[in-house]
Amino acid sequence: MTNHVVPSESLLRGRRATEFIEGITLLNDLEWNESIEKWILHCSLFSDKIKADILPKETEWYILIDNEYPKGSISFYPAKVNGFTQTFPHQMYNGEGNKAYPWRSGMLCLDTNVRTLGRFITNNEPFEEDKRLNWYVERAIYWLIAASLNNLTIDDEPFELVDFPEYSGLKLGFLENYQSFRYWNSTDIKFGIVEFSLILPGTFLVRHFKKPNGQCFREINWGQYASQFKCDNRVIGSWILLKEVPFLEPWQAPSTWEELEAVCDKQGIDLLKKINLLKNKQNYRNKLAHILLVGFPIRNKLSDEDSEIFWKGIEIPILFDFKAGFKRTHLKEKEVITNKSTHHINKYRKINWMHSFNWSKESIMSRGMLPKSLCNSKVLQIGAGSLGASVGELLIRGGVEKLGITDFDLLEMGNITRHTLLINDIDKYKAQSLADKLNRSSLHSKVTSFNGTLQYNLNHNSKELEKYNIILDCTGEDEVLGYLENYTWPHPKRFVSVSLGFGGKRLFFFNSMGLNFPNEIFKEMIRPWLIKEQDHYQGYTFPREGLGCWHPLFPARTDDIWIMAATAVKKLERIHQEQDVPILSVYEQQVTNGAFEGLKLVEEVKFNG
Amino acid sequence: MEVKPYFTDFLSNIRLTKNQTDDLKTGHKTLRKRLLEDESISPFIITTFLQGSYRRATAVKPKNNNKSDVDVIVVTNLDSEEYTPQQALDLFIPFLDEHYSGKWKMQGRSIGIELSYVELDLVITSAPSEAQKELLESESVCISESLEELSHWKLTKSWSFSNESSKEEPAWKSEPLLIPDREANKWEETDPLAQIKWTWDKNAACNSHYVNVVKALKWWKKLNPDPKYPKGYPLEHFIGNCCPDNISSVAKGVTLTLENIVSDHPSKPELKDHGVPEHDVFKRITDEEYEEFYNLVSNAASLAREALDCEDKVDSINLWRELFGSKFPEPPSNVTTSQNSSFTKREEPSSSVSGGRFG
Repeated sequence: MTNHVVPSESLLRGRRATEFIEGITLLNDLEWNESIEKWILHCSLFSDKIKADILPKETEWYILIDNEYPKGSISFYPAKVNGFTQTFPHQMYNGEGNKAYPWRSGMLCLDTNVRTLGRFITNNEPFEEDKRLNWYVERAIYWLIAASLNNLTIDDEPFELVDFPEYSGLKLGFLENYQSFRYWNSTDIKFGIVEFSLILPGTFLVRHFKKPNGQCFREINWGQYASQFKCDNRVIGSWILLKEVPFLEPWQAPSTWEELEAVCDKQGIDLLKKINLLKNKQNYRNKLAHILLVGFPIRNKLSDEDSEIFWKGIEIPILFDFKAGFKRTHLKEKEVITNKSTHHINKYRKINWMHSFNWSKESIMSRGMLPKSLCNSKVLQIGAGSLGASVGELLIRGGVEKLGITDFDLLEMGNITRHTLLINDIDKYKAQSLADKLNRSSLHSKVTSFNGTLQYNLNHNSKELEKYNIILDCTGEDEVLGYLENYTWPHPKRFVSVSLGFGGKRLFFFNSMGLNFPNEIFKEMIRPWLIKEQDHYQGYTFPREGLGCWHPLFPARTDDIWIMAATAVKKLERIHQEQDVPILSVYEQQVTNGAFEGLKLVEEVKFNG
Repeated sequence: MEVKPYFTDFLSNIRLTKNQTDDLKTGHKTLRKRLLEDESISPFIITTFLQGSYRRATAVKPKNNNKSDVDVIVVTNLDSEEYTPQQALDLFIPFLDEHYSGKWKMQGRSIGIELSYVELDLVITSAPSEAQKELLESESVCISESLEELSHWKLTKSWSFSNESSKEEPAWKSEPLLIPDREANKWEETDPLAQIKWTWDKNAACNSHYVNVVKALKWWKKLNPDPKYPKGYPLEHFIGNCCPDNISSVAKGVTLTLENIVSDHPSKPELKDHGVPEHDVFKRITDEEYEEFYNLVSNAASLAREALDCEDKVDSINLWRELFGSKFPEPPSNVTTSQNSSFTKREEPSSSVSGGRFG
């Protein structure tokens, strides 16, 4: 048949170059598949080094290649005929795959991250047309050799979970870390009831683990955002903790109930018995879904000890009757009543594994996090203006959990030119809106707003405010420092005052420790700088918003605010290492001939009075 | 070495492009429609069908920007006893002037029509026998597809393009048709259907490599224009006679065909045309021309044998390239001779460093 899309010369060159690899035989030339928009190359791969009792020495493959070759993806799928059915490490779940295609779903992982293949073929992926496809083909052949010799993983590589075929459209978030792992190890409870909140359409968060008798023994400590959702009583939850990762040799996720049952049995766990025990405790009336959590220990690196529990969710069609499913006994009368749409699922039925994620702070924030000392601090931020909003957001996204925000002001349209709040927050309390926004910025943050002036809050909410250990002033108002000077805290606090100079060109970062804010010392230390500042704005007409009452605005752009807010956070990062004497640090934007050259720490002095 | 992917790409480089074959089909369909709608000529027309190298899937790209051409047989109901060839051809002149004014010319055995995108050679036949008429009007004859575009085909009146499981009907035997020879002013026998059928059967016997062997060698002959003959159909016919069945690759087919010519035909053979055995396809070729051609083949045969037996892939590809010219793809640039199985050089550090940046 004629192809309407013609392979590019680059792709033909890549395909011709495979002629130079001994182990590949092309069974069919490149064919364009319109529905998946890929080129398909049907071939067989052979190596004499493949251990034949594990894998055939020759197997058939479908290589799916992007039309943009040598750019784009190249993926290898085992053929349904003359392929193989096992799933190995560094491979996607090798199921039957889509009925429309002659290949199975078990795509090989051949990319640079599979370092074990680097022993044979360099881990540097080439992008030349003559080389790239060959690089993949050669790695595929070595993958097969390594798979047959049980050599696909090396001890110091990161632990990779089996690839669960995720047929369920639901998503699950749980919270586990090393601490909770030790807890799980210390308890004898190995199965029970679990409660969820639906925090987004289709996304469930684990809230409570309960014993089979319904007694709660572990409440998950999420942030403010998640906590506002009630536990969803339309969902039944059960949990069961296994002794190790459920897998079938070599590294395949159980895909049917029969397979899961067998895997549990091998671990000495009677899955059905436990599920049936739980089933009798649950009320199935008016329920929409049943979620079973299967937990098991995992580790960071292959050679490490287990260090964390992973919970893989299973969506069980509601009113699924396990006895009927496995043993074909009669349904109980009660179940029949509520059982209008019972699915009689047999043991060959596929398991609806859910997309499951550990949303613990350590896990989510592995991309980058502020030091523990700062994250564990409780920060009371005074001022939710443009500088405060930026600093607050950087702290929350950096991992600070507990943040209090005080501000008396309402948001105006002019504010949002450099404020992180939005148009729909206008005429609302800045403190309240910012707290809401920051609570939506992290699953773990607990941001509380204190609308009103600092003075008002010190008078009315002192008990609340005293829980914080870092008092962070972002107002730039002398008056606020005055209140702070006059208020004596019951315990020593870390005081930080962050403010900007004219046009946001300087950052003043003052840090001290005590029961009061040392306002006199601060004033003395910052005085020479304020004199310098005057030189800048003398003769300058301050911008005004609108007409009428003269109210000068502080000129600076958002980029000035953000770079200074980020610098302030860099300073805060080390705050607990500082001595207890007051210190003033000054950063300055460096500009030469109009070109921005960066920020410079132009002064850092300790008070020695 | 057989270097199959290299042959695949060489063949797609010398085969007519999709646009070219689309043009041929359009040219043919338009002509056929006009003939059947023309009031003065349509009463004489029984059917039209495609023949020639395009139909047999043995056509190669024309050189020097020439247009591709296609032969269209126009089967008429004109009695060869009543009409002289000239009279029969003259009937078409008003039609040609109306639809192809200034674009047609009378040739020895056909009417040439030169369109902007394609050249049509109209070959007019006299009336076939009643039995043949049915076959000539059947789908197996009238389709515009070349043999290569068909996964199944049979010369029967019940064959259909869309139905793979053709009825168990034995293939029909075609009869020669009469075409005008203007110079001799007499009707001449020809049997295009026999040629098509022979090619289909031969290709099946050669694991579908036959038409590719023909194309490769026709291309080789184009690169070697001295002597001018044999070329075209006579060359194809000769290749057909010398190409063994059951070949496993084009490379083998080409080599064995050339070698068979060298060993079996040191002097000019007589080649009986398919369907009309009285015709010697090589009739017009002189002994001198054949001798020159034979020497050309001898050199090509040893070059092909060297390329086929060469153990080194790069060398082998370069030898095939010597035989078939620049349309035969080059070996990969980064492989040197004698580097056979280990393609990826491991000792050389990568010139570009990738990764290490995040966005």
